[in-house]
Amino acid sequence: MLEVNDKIRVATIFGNGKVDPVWFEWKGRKIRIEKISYRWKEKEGSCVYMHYSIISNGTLYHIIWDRERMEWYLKEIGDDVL
Amino acid sequence: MILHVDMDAFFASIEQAANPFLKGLPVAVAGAKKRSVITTASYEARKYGVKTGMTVVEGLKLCPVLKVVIADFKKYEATSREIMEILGKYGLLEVYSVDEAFLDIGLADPEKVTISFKKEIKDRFDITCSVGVAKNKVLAKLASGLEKPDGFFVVNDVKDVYDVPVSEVCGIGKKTVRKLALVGIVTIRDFVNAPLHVIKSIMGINGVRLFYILKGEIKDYVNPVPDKPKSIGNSMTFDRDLFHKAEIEKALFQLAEKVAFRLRKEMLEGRHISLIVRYKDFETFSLQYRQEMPVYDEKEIFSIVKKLISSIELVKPIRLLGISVSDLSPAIQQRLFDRNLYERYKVIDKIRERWGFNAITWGIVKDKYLHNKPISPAWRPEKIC
Repeated sequence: MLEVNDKIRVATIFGNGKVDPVWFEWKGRKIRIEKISYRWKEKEGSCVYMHYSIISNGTLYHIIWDRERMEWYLKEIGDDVL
Repeated sequence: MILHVDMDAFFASIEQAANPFLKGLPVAVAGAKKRSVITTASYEARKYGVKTGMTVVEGLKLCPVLKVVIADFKKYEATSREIMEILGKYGLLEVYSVDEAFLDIGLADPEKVTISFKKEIKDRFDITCSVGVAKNKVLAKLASGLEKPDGFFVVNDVKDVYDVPVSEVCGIGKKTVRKLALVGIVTIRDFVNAPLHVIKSIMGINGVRLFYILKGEIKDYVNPVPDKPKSIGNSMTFDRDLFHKAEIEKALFQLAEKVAFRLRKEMLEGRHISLIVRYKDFETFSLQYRQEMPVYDEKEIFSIVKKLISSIELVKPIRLLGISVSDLSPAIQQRLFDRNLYERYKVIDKIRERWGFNAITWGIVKDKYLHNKPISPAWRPEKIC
């Protein structure tokens, strides 16, 4: 995986106690999320970060939601993309 | 009945679930690229002989198509925490390690319970576990290892595992296995039929206890409350070897901060301080210091380890440093003498608990070495225990 750490805009569905990202924008491209393959919660002090491993068009992405700041980041991307 | 739940190739399975492109491929999870050792190998990688503890280079020699993934311990901790929450719904839970737990389900049907939580774990994480069932923890743990992965094995009586080597029993280490073999004790059958005084002479009181547990004459209870730690320590393997005094001291201070923070969190202080040094070539040694007045404070721990490291000549670059504080006692004495200091640390610790460990630090470690923290075998999810 390659480190990216870019802030991104994400469309999200809230429901059933879950937060599901649907698509995100990165470098002017709209990337539609086909599958959330894994999700986990990280606590750093009282800050909570929701991590998602997602698949789009045959590529793995790792995105993070900073719940406190209400911001999304693209953390990593599969080596095959860049 | 008691169940022992053992997650199958835990870290590697999580990586395969998170990245479906790794499914079916030989995967090894390693601490950091090239330099570190393999912490878990997937079952596909094990077929090539890749094992935990090998270096990445050794793993790649055995399996050139091995996919090496850098460990993400926060992901594993979070997964473990959720799994323990799932298991806790089914009975009395004892978290044994990040990927193992004992569950006392009383009179419930072990098979039904296992099917149910295996499904929950599979649905949530797409990973599997193996389960051993027995009347005591020792046999349950042994049983979970007999049918892997995704296994379920019931030991109703010790006779069911008579032919299993004693080396498979938790609590019998390599040295003891060799000593037992010298008197002809190789299998569990040999062990439980041996004269008790022979077991006692080799293994002491722990052997006697194990003897009676295996025979089913005493029970080892599931203990949901974790034992108080005997020592608190932290270590760091560096991405590049350290040689200069300033960077070694900076790393030591950082470690002292972490150890002191954890001591205060557990309301403990300790008298025995150990410094572990591992050179580039894996040569490892430790230096010890003992003092009458117990410590809980990073500055004091740092000053002790600084003295320890200054007392020797470092002949090679360092790949790992570790600090451990033992001979622990409840943190009372120091507070009586250093009330102001203790209050100051309480404020620092509060900031760290609110904003994360790296939110506040001392000037000496302003530019922190951000370390990908490995999971200690003693790790327990905080909310469970």
